[in-house]
Amino acid sequence: MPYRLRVNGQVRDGLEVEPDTPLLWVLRDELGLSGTKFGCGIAACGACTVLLDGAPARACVVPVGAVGSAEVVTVEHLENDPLGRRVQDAWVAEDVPQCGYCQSGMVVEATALLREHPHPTRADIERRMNGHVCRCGTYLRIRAAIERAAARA
Amino acid sequence: MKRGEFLLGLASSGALIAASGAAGPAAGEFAPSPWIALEPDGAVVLTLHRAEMGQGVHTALAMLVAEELDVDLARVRVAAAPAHPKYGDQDTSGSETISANATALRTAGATARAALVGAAAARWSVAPDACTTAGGVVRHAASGRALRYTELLADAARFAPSGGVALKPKARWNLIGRPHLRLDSRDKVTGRARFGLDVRLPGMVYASLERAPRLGAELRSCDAAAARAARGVVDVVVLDRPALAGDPLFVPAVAVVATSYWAAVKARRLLELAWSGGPHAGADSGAIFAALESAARAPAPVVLAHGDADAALRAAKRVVSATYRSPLQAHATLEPQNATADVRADGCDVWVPTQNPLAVQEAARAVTGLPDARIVTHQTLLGGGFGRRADRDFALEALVLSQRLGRPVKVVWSREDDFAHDVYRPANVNHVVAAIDGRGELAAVVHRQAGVSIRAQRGSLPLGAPDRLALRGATKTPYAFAAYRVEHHNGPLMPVRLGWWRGVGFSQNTFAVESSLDEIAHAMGRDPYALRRELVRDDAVARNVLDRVAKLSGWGGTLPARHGRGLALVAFDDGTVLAHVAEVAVGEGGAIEVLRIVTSVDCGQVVNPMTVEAQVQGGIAFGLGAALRHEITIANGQVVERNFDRYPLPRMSDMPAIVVDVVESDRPPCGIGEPAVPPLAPALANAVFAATGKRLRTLPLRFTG
Repeated sequence: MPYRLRVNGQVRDGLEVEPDTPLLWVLRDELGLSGTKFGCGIAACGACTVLLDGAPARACVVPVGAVGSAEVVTVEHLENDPLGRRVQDAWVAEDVPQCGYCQSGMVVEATALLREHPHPTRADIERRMNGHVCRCGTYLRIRAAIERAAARA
Repeated sequence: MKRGEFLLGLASSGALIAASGAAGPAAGEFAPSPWIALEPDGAVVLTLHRAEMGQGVHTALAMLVAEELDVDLARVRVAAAPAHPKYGDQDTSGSETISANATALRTAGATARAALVGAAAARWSVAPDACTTAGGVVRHAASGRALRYTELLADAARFAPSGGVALKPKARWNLIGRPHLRLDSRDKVTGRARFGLDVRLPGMVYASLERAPRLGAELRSCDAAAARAARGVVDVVVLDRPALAGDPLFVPAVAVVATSYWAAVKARRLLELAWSGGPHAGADSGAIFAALESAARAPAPVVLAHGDADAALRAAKRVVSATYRSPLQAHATLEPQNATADVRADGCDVWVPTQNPLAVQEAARAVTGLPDARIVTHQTLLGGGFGRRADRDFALEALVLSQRLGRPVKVVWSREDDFAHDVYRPANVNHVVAAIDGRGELAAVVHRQAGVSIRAQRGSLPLGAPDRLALRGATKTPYAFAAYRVEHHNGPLMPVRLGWWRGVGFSQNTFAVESSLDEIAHAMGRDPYALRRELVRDDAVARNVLDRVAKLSGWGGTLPARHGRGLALVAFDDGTVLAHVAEVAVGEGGAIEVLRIVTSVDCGQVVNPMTVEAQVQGGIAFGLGAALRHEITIANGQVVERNFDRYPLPRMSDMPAIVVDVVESDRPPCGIGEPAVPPLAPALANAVFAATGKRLRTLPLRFTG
């Protein structure tokens, strides 16, 4: 049956995919939202992180059939959110990305973290960001960027 | 979506299509070299021919051009060059992008500037020398006149300098050597950056490939009926040896092609395939290492020798002998391997996150039989490279499938495919023997590596013939050993493909060189820093780096119980010298906690200090995984580790504090992409010894029993 999703403030319907198709591939291949990345397929790397009703979720293991009416927000939409924009600005100012492939997931997660904890401790930051891997090793600058974004709240 | 958009690493403007090798200059632009195009709207479009895979080279190369061209970096847009001989060598490897291209790109910038100045001077009837440039404007101070570059584009080509141009002296540099934010960060945090996996073409289909489970295994039977009947499946294609044009990295495979990646993945599970066992059916890591260890103890062909090491060993008062083991390593680029090809009767476009576009172009030529003029190899951003994307096996798969199907095909490797069919960093056993003479001096060192080299495994060098490339880090060290011999037992063949991995050769050999030097120092009763200091007496750069890292790290200062410091140095062939001091704490149960890494590095003239710091931080993270956790093991001829659960990458909480000290240097620029990786493991092993008195000689470093 065709699926209907709420993505980045729009209703996208008529999605002819199998119910077990991970949300990741619907976003990327059906909707052209390629900012959400494929890294592992087992929720071990965090590259595919999106927000489902505001909570970070690994889109590679969320079947499209389980999304229901949840609001999906991807990295492409963060610029429209003042907090998301602040996180992105902090990432640029701290010169975080190297290859950049993991950074979509990182900024989505960091935005959710700062929404919940506007002034996170280092332990808060590590607890949440430890769900993500960066093969280039940009972690120290990611931490600095989150602290920078928090300081500007 | 327009195809030209995939050329855009960083920006989105139709003007960049003109930068592709297929098109000439756009109307009104001034394109004085393959790299530079000044657009009428004031944009400076740089088409750069080295892969951006995180090293920051698009920014650094742009800084080099902008420095000489005197344009504002904010007006620069970077595009990735397609494969084309006009750019020269396009292979991004060996940490040499800056050293190999700095002069050429500065000269291109200075040449373009000279033409613009010439055009302005002619219009004003003044001497070019009386004009100055800054921020994309030519000025004549004496008359107060000024012209923007954009007003000179139509004339400039006529004023191209005939002879050489002078480059700016260092005193007048505004960009080189100063920290500059990367140009591509905004696109990388908004989802706009386009990696290979992000390529989409009209009518494109997706392929997922079931590759032979073992090297040398052949497909015996293939029942694809169920897969073909699955929803979305377009075709099932057997890729056998002739299909892949005899490529040395060829792995037979059955490709399931479908209208979506997920449909292809699901249908692939329905394939019923039978493979022959192949020559490596029983291979396992234990037997591989047992063979390497016995090889490492027997004399082997000599790669390099000076002095009489054997005489020194015979006369030695004390002999220090140790064996070090380095396992296979995976690249684990976070973007899995992928490529998209569109092979038509009259042309071919292929989009690849590749470190080597000309090699992809060559593959496209071989597969399609088309002339170069009808093939465009598009370079995308790379979601990590580390040497994996110097090979083109994934591009070849896409080319062959697109040709067979007559439509655009995107090949996407799963993470499991990526781990199971990598081209792994070779496994080596290094045996080091040192002679300490009657006066207590180090009289000789013999370094023997056992393990097949990448080139021998691929058949481009005979087995048994020593391969100098595999001995990097051992053949050329900054140490003035009285007698030194390096040997290589080049074999036996491995049951997996081997490839280039960040710090080729160094990552295994530096572990042995720097661990053994620590062991030798302790055997001599010498401080490991003091011994190195003495052995690098003829090398001012290495001496300085050692002194700085010792001072910054508080070398020799007291530490709590079960804490220790370890030092390791590496000198890359191109001139970069880097030393780490690692500080670790070892728990009673043997857990190794890395507290701090202090790094001093001299990589010659720095272009962008922020990038140098990032490469050192990143190299340390990369090295931490390899030193403490990562090994690819083989059981029954197959790779055991198939995803990040079994090959756990370091995460944020694993990161130590890092201090990066970059030496101000006027030497020509040398590389920084790799050098921080190789000395990390021995620095940690040496620190563990200092903390516990226990010597760990096998990577990854672990206490057992």
